[in-house]
Amino acid sequence: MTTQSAFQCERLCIDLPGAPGVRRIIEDLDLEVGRGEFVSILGGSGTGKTTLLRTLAGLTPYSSGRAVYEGHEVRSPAPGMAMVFQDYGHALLMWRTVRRNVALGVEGRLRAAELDNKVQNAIRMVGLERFKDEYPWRLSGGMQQRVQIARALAMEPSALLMDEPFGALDAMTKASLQDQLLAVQAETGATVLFVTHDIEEAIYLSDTIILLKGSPAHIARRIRVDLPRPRDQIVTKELPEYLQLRHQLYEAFRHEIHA
Amino acid sequence: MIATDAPALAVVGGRGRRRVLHAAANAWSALQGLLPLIALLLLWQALGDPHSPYFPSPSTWATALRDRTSAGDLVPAVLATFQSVAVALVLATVLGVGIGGLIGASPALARCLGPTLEFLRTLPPPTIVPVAALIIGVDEKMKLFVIVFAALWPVLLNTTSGVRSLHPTLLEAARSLHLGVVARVTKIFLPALLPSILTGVRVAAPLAIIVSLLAEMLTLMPGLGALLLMAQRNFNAAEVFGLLSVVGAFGFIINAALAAFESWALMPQGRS
Ligand SMILES: Nc1ncnc2c1ncn2[C@@H]1O[C@H](COP(=O)(O)OP(=O)(O)OP(=O)(O)O)[C@@H](O)[C@H]1O
Ligand SMILES: [Mg+2]
Repeated sequence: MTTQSAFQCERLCIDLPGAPGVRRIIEDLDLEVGRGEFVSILGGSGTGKTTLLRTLAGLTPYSSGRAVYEGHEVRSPAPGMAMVFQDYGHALLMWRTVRRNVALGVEGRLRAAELDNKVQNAIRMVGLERFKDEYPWRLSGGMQQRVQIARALAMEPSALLMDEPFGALDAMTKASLQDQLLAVQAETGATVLFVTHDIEEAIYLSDTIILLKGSPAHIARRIRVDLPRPRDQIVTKELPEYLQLRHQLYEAFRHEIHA
Repeated sequence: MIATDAPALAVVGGRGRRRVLHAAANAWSALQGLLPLIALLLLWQALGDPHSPYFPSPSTWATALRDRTSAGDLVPAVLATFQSVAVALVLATVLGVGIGGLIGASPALARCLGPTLEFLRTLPPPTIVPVAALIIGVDEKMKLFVIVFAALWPVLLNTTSGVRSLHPTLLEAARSLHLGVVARVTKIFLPALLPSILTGVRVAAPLAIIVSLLAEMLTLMPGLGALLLMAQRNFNAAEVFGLLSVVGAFGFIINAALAAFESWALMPQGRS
């Protein structure tokens, strides 16, 4: 399915300033993500999932090694990349309506009709048509997160970087957005890097799961998910392969927690 | 205050009217707060002596003001003061937002400009008047300079602290959406800083009025301050009180207008 790589990391090290001095968060991480691949990054709280994603998004500089996106070293947010932040409350412009928030990344470059079309489309994908003229501060947390997702989708990115995007959602909305995301990805062929701490979500969505572990963090496991696509919330989750992966990952996590 | 039934608000066109109504309601509640003052004046009128040399009753103020108006002094004086205050406030806002924004964004700039600005800020504006008059001369430019000098600081300091308290995620979202510098300033920074800026302007407005009147009194340049000083020199108590109430109304209206503008402008942010 994937012939060329979208992301490549070689011996990637990331340091962040901390109280006692500089602290190494990620050490010697090697990673290859193919174009169109769906990769989930799993790991306990504070292992460095967000940090890794932010580095690949060009927001956090790395200290050594290489991080490459489409053949270019990542130094700043690359064109074609869109990011969905973990704290949606600060990622949205509270003074803009939903529609104008979604338009933010594309409004400079398109004609009015085309823009309108794209924005409507993105809003429909996350099911917020009824609220398109509402201000984000009048929406629930989950709805605000959906606005952020719509804003990223409106950019029609070739790589979508998402940091626990469904963490704030109820189970029903979560399931429906997972399916929406898979449909969008199947349609656009976008590469997706998806941070989550939900094991079942990671299996359901991904082609590959990487498990971050330790401090500084490294890739403890790299798990290939060969479940057939399109996936289905009921059928897929009853497949023996699914259950086996689930077992394997919970097992790995148990060791992680006890370590 | 505002109904929370979200979809009902989504009616196109309804929002603008709602915002205006909201601002008008705020202005009205400010007016209601004036009732005690009005009651006091009425009491004064009823019990006071119209011929008192020090405390003439309010009706004599009105007569004195009418005389000033028909002499052709009052309206130009109000307009002169208003123009200085308004122009100076605009200049102070532009300068304050510009300088304050840069200082907030750049710690290096804050380090090298900080002490100088701190020193300038502590100079009492009245003491600037003679210096400015000496250097610039007694004209409108000098008056503006002095007012801007006084009104600049609240805007500048508020903008600086506003920039510093912007959430990093907001700025990163702007970066990851590939917004250019201009778009970042106009679409992210200025709207996000608007509450801080407007708070600064509201603190600056009374200062601008005070310093404008003061400059007029010290230099006798046309304006309400000069009229007030002349009335005092002529021992015309009724006119002094009359002009004082004009000054009071002047400040009140400017303040109320700014407050209404603030609540109109911040409505989309849900902060008014
Ligand atoms: N801005 C920052 N400056 C310095 N250190 C940071 C910063 N953000 C995070 N860290 C540190 O980096 C480590 C990894 O944080 P990170 O946010 O990447 O974790 P995470 O895996 O995303 O956790 P969670 O699941 O809770 O979101 C943490 O130990 C944290 O203390
Ligand atoms: Mg995180």
